[in-house]
Amino acid sequence: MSDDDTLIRCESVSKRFCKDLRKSLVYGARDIGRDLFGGDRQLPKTSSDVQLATDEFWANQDISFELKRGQCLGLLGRNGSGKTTLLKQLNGLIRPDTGRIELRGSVGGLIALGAGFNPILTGRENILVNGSILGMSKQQISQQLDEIVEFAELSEFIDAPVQTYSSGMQVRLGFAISAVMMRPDILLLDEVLAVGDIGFRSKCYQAIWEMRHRAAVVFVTHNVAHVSRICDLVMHMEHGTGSVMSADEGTQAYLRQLEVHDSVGTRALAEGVELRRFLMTPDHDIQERRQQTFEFELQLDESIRRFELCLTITSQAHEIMARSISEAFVNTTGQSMIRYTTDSLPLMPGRYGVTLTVDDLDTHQQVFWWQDLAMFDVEGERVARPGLSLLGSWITD
Amino acid sequence: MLTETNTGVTATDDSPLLTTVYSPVSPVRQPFKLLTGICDDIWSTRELIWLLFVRDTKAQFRQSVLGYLWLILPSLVSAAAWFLLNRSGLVQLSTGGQPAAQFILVGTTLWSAFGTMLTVPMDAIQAGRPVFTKMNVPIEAFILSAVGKSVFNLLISATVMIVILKLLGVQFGLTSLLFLPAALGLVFMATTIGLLLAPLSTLFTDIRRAVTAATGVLMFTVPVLFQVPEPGGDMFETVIRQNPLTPVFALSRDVLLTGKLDWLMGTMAWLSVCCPAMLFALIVLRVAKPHFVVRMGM
Repeated sequence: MSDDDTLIRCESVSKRFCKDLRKSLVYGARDIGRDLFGGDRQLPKTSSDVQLATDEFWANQDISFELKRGQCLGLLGRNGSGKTTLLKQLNGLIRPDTGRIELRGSVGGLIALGAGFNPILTGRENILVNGSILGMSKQQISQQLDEIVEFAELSEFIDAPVQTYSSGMQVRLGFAISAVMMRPDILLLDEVLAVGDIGFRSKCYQAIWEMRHRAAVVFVTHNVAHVSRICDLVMHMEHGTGSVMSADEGTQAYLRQLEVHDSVGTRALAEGVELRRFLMTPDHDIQERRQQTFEFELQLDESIRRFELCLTITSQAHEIMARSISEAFVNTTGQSMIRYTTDSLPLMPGRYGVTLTVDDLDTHQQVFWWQDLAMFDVEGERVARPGLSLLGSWITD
Repeated sequence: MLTETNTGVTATDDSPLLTTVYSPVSPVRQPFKLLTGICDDIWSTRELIWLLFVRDTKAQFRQSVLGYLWLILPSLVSAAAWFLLNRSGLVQLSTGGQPAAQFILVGTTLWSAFGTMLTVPMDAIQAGRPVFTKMNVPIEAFILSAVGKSVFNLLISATVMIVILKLLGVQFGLTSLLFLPAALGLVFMATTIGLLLAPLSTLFTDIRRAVTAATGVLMFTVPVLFQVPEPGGDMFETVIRQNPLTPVFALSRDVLLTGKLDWLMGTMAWLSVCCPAMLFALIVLRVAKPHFVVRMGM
């Protein structure tokens, strides 16, 4: 690809925000005044040139990257890590405080689906206005109107006021307008694949996939699965900073951060049940299709008479990979040592979590739930690609 | 520029892609570029402005039984109240010898137009909040369409007012034709003031509240319910005579009721001050936009 195909160029882009509302408003007035009457003041190049005022912090700090046509950058990070701020700066909604953003070509965002809908007006009327907000001419809109209605699957309701639509229908209409009409060079996506029912989601996915090839795409999401399907690059954002990595590296970095954050796992519903000890054998160099043992030492309240255990193995993104449910156990002494052995661990190389739940069989209540009580890696020679490992053979003629 | 081919594959021709740069440099550093940018944006969004205008005008009374009657009702009620107060003798309004009913009706209609236009820019920005925080669209388009809608409403209420005046026996002369430009001048002044206040009002809600409170008091410094006092009176009279709004108010009413043009020069003078003020307001709005959008929520 030639250098000309670089459509996004970010150099040391930073943006400061303020935690305190009142102060933030005063700083806002100050910044407007500076812009209007500030004259030739020295402009900061990086965040180190700026002295933060009280209660200010960097929402984005010295972010640099380049993106070419056909590339898709996923922004992964926990809530508040600065993903949306970066997206808004790329969209020109917020001006950076340091650095420089250079964009080549038209910019389109699938960000606010249905922003600007007037609830009292009909779907058809809103398509006209919304399309125009996206920069389309009246003629273009009327040419594509049928296509939009069909995409949104709303032909029956298109002449009803938008306030009678469910939120899902509104988002569908919003997505359809953008997806059918936009042909941007730079496409900004914010969590758009999280909308609608499964059928519509796959349609959205298809639409984005088509746009993706002729544009440089920046994609904000929490969903690791979407990243691995769409993105070839990932920026893992943490406290407003981040650098571009390959999709695999970036995803791993994000998942590791989640893991550290939830290092003790998420526990709930511990009513009279305590996990005293947990053991995995072997506990290192775990291999696909080898024997694996999980041991649990439980202390149970005497009110629980009969119980069962459910062992779930999940991916790092908490997708369920495999499961085993025990037979009914009787609680006689209040202490139970329970061992589960699988002869062949059916997992592809990758990183997994162990989740344990305990159900009281008399009350039919879940009395214990511990997500990610341990994490383990299945080793292998090939690249880690977590999933259930099927039995079978590949043959070529 | 990219062109779409039949196969859905994109191909590039020779024209280069438009480059956009965002940096901390204030746009005021290139004032000419800033102004042409604003004009370009307004021109390129003319269709949107029209659509928004049609949308909002159509939508405003869709949920109302009395509908367009609401455009004239408040000023009619207010006029009736003042008329009754005046007739009962509780309040003495000096109308300069003109019949009180028509004098007050014109005054309250004009004042309600002024009060409406004052808050139109701020309200338009607030109403467009979900759009501005998510999409990069010229904010001017939303303000212009809102101004258009309000002017349209004012034209309707002015028409009703003229019909009522006719029924009250007012004889319109040739100078009455000046009412429309004079009233539009008033609208322009109100919009300019409103637009100057709008950026700060997005940060501090005090501004919007203060404007509402001030319009109530301001009414007595403008000849809404009484004629312009003769010069040489007390301080209050001086305030009224020096008020920038007085000429345009007095002129609008005079051309309609008496045909006098005493305040024409004063009106022209203040309107010519308003033009650069409007340009300044547009520049401030542009400069302030990223700063208030950030504080409008994510």
